[in-house]
Amino acid sequence: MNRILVASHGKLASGLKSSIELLSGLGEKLSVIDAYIDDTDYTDQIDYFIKQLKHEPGVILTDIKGGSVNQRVVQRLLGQENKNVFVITGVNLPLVMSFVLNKDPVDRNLVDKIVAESKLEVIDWQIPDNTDKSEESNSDFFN
Amino acid sequence: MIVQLRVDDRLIHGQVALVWTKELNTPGIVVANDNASTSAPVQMTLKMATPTGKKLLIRSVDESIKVFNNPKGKDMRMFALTNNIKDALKIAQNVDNILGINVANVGRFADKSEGEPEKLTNTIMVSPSEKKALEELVKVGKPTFTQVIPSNNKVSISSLLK
Repeated sequence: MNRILVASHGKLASGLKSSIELLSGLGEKLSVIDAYIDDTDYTDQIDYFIKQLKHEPGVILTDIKGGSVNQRVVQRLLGQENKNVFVITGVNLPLVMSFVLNKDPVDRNLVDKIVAESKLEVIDWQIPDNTDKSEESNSDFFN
Repeated sequence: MIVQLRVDDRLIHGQVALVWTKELNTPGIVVANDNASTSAPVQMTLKMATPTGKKLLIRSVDESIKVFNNPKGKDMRMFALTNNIKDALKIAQNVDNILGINVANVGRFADKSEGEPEKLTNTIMVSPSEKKALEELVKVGKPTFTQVIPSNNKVSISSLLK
């Protein structure tokens, strides 16, 4: 049983799986849906993922808020008995990695924590003009 | 305590930053490397690679040994990184509290002044002097293995040296 589904427009989902495999070797933990790359209806794949969870918690990660993939996932979850399937949108690699490596029970608290952490990973990284080393002290490190 | 001393010629990179720091649950990362300890550009990129919420120290090998032996660090879970086997050996010989030594990625970027390195695994290539250091490292008597990513099985270094 897989607890994590990534669903995207095009190959973002399988691409994330490829990166997860390269970095951690744990790609098999992910189910993926690459929607709209051909004319097949991916609704069955969403339903299958939800069904194979039985009553266990699961996570569905979608690419973009308001996109049709996200809408369809939410629609398929409405009316489901399993209330522990969490939908998160705006997927990125650190977010997927956090769920793949997670060993704690998946519940609302855990999902909130992982989402909060992964938001911090989107950064405007400004290259400094000078690269003077700023020395961290040992005492900061041990605090 | 050093939860893991890892030899990795890329120091902090994707496998280390994203995967191992979570797997090992180590709030502190110490890069023990003489070049990095004096190079501002290297320090900048190492800081960039450090995961949010983790603390990083970049020290020369000798200074890092003092950090590891600092009584304040006794209960702190630390992840130690060197980019070659000789540096790891020096740390292993001078620090008691090391739970495991992981020789993961080494030799790819090393200079070839001692000739073509010997390939022990797909990710471990050793010159004669690095091989000697590896043999000494095993003799220190701490669990010494190779495991590039957590889903790989641990393979003991002594089994590779036979």
